Amino acid sequence: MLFNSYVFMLAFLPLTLLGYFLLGRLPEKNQLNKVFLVLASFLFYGYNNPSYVPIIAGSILVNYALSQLMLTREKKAVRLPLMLLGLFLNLGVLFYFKYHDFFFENLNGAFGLHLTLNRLALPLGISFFTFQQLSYVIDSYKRTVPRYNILDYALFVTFFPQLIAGPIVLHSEIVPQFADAQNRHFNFDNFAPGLYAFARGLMKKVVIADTFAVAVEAGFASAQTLNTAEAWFVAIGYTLQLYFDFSGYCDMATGVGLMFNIKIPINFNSPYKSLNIREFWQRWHITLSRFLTTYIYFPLGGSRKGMARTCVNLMIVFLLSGLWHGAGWLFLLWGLMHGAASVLYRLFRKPYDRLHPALQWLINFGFIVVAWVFFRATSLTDALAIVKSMLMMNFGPLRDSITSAFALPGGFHEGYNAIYMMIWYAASLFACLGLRNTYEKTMDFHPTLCNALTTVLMIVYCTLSLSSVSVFLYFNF
Amino acid sequence: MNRKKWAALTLSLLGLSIGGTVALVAAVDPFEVYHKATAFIPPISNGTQIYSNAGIAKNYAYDSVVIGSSMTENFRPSQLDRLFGGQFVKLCVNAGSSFNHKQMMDMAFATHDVRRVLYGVDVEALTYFYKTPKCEMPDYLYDDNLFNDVSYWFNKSVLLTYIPECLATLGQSDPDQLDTMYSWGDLYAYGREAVLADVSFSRDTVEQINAEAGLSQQTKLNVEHNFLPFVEQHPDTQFIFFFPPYSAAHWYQFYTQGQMEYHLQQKKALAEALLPYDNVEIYDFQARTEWICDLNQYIDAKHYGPDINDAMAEEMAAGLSRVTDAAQLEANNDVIRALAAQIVEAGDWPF
Repeated sequence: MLFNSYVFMLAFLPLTLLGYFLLGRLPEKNQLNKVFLVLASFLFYGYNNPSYVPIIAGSILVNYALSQLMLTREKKAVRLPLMLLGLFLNLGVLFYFKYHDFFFENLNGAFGLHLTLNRLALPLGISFFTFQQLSYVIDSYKRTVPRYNILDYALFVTFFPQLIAGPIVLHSEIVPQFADAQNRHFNFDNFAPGLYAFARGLMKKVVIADTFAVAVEAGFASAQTLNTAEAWFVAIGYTLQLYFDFSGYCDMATGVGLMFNIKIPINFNSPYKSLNIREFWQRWHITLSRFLTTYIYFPLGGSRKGMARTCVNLMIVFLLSGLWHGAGWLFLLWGLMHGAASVLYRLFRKPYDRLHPALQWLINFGFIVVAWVFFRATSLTDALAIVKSMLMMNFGPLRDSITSAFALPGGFHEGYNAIYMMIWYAASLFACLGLRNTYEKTMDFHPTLCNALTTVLMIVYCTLSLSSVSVFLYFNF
Repeated sequence: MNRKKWAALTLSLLGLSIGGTVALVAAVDPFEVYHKATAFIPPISNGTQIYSNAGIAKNYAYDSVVIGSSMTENFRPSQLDRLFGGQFVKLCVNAGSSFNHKQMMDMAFATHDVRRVLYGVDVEALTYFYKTPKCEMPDYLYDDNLFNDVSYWFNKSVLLTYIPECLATLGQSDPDQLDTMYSWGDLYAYGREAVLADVSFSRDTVEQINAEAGLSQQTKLNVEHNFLPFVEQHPDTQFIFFFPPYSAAHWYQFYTQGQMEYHLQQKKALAEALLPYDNVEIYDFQARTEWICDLNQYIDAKHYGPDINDAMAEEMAAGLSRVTDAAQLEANNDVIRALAAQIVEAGDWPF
């Protein structure tokens, strides 16, 4: 199920809140409210494709069993194979659904084999719930975590606001909050900022990201023929689209979480305000960085084994990050680019940090924009064509398929679409760079008439944007 | 204000907005899916045809329907009423597939006692995928499920474009709308220059594929799912199928794509499948050389003007140009083959 859908906003969310808090009024020991929430979360997960439900259910049961076994065994010799089994099963399932075809395609290509691809659809959120559970499994091996009952564990994994696209929450962040008896009861003090955050996240996704998406799609489809101006607008357009889409989604997750009295960790902290690549990764997809740092970077030695080893560790982390984002060479290349940039920053940090902040920002943002081109492009040739165009100083008019995405409703004064486009870009960049982000504003929420009205307007406008009348005029037959 | 008041205010306003929006759309109902428009002129146009047709099919008074693509959009129900004695509405779907036309007929039969179906058969729609509409359809307007009407109630275009259009014509009515809706005859230029602009001629002979196709797989499925069920389940309804007169240039275009024989075969196969039924009449206007060789009747290789629609209506009401066996249809097909051969030999438009 999607947050930005009628069924979620008009039916699922109100009914789930109602059910959860009504059941919460039962005596404190009664866990029916959590059972209800787990079932609702499975409904949320399986709504668009019920066949995914057995996968996540199976994943939960197996991981829970392994964790509990490890937590009740003293001997490392018993725990280690269990942990390895857990790693193997989790990563194996992830490999099977996400990376199998990519791996086999390349084997076929490299060695002339004819291995069959399984062409499976990727179960929703598998990268997220796999990593989320891996953290508990690994920590269970280390016996640094408490034992949870199956209900609490299932709720931690399936809690629907963070189920499909993160943030990657830690059990220690979620389970205690559900255990807190106070949180069983509906609380306006949380609901209000929750609704506020949800509205803003919805607006970021439905209005801002989806508008840039139209221009970006047109741009990447014409990757080979863009002029310099178009290439820059398309690249920056994607930079903005991705941020508003993903952070908007996380804002909605945060907002919905708050409605249930659960504080979900921040995932985006105005990343485009960063002055260097290290700061960027402390602000972008924070929970992923946290996971990779905790479970890959630190175990490899982090920065404690000399500069050379640090650089190697950084490259490994970023390559894995690239791979996590998608099964494709371009994702790996993007990871490689960010790894290289991180290494360079590590090596030349002192002179870099002495540069004027404006210059630091420019270098950093410019790099990020270019790297996103590789992330988004459907082929290396397309990516290179766009980047080349960005550098060629071959300025020209902006094509309609790009500017029309920013047309006014009703097509008023279409001749000025390029100008509206400038305004969109300027306003969006200003928002990213000059305003507080939604998370900050939510944590510092003050109820006013003004933000009540804007919240209503945002939700109403976004709900209306879910459906439109498409004008079809064909004369084919 | 405190957070509780803020939440109460916000939720109340949201509730009011939701309720108010639903009430507004239900009351104004630009696509007439709840009730026929009486207080304003409904915004019916070719571009939003698939939306308006739902309302017309459900809530207009009629006992006869016009089904088909742009080949049928220029018909005039007032003339058809006079000629056939019924009450016609147009449920055309421009560029529609056979599945689209089935959707229209389903709606009509489900809501009205339909006595006549006037159906213009496009050879290309006949061989197109039988379950595929021409585009994503607003199915929520065509079914009985009130819940999915949310896509109609909370719809940016409905609220910001179409309801204002309705309100702008408040108090007005257009008695000719049934005739003029979807008609495009006056909007384009006719004649040789317009028609031949997109046609390139050569003397090359082109191998015709599937020349002995008989009933192809998709035609068979179309006949089975989109034609026969209506004919069989409504024995008291008169089905008037006609093959529209594309210009000879369009048949030449089919020829250059190697498709001419295929379409002629499928056309014949459809006729053979439908002719046995008593409630079916089939008319073939495709070999009418006085029309199809006269480019002044056309805006492009395929689309003829309303004069031809009027003429076809007159003929069908009088039973002229009717095909009662496959041999007659094949004779017409031979005329088309001969015209195509003439064009190939001339390497240009020779008429």
